[in-house]
Amino acid sequence: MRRARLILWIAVGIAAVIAAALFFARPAPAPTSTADSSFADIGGPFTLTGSDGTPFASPRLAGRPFAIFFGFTHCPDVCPTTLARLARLRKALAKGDKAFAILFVSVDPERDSPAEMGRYSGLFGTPVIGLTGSPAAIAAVKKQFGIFSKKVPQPGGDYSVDHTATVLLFDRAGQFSATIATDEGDGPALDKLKLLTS
Amino acid sequence: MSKASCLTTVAVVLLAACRPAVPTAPSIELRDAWARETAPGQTSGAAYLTIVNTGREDDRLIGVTAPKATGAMLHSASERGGVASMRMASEVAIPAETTVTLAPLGTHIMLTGLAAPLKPGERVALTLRFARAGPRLIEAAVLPAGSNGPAD
Repeated sequence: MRRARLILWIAVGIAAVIAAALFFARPAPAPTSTADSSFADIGGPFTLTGSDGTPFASPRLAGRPFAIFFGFTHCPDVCPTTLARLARLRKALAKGDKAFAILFVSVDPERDSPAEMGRYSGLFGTPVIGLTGSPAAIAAVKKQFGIFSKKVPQPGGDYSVDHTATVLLFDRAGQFSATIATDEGDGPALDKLKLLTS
Repeated sequence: MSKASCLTTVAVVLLAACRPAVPTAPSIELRDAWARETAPGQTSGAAYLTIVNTGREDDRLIGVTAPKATGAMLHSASERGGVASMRMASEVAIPAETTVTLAPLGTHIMLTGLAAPLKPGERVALTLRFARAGPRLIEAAVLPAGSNGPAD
């Protein structure tokens, strides 16, 4: 009886060792391709309207990295603060205005005319490419870049627009490279831009 | 000192003199007020400042007016999951012995219906209404759009 119990305990021990070995020796889960492919899917060619009212096709950026930010001209806080920051970061990068393009795309095409986008984008003392388009064209580009926006009524009949405020960075080949979050420090943001323009 | 601002000062002093003496009245100081440059045709802008309550009583900022704008309101910007949103705030608490800064990407004063663009070097008069301290005047300096505030 005692002997049977001993054998049983030994068996339990062996089973535990085998289970542990199996657990630790288990091959790492194969990286799923979903993350990679969804990153690769962000962006891509687009055509919008430049501040001069003529079409702006993204191949015009070929060979140049770019930072793209979506906002609207009736946005007095988040949008100018973010564009001012990108302008400051590009200055801090000290590689000139051509190191990377800054694109500002309207999420409020009903109110933002090309001329308005141009005047607003021209405020930052450095070239900022202001882009708008038909509501359908803007909707398509928002989808391409994974941008959310939603009109929110304000008292007095006006409206504001909630929108993705994260800046997206694309490399020379037009491939999605990184993001700059609103609450991210200038240090890490500058590191990403260094890498982007290296 | 210009005639207008001299008169304003006199008016403020007189108003202050007319107020009943309340020993516990909070002491509110306004500092570093600035507004961001706006583009021609842009009808909304934002102003920021630092409010210091040196008193022992809590106060609340309950309203703002600006002659250059048809509307001035307290707005708070917030971000969730990368999405920025702006909502009207009915008031901002200014607790006793506390400094509250209205800054970019946070609570700010939103100016609507600007008749003319705000140009760097100009000043924007703001009247801030406090629940206890009453109305306070301050002039915000218009800074270039690329600026990040007076400390820039």
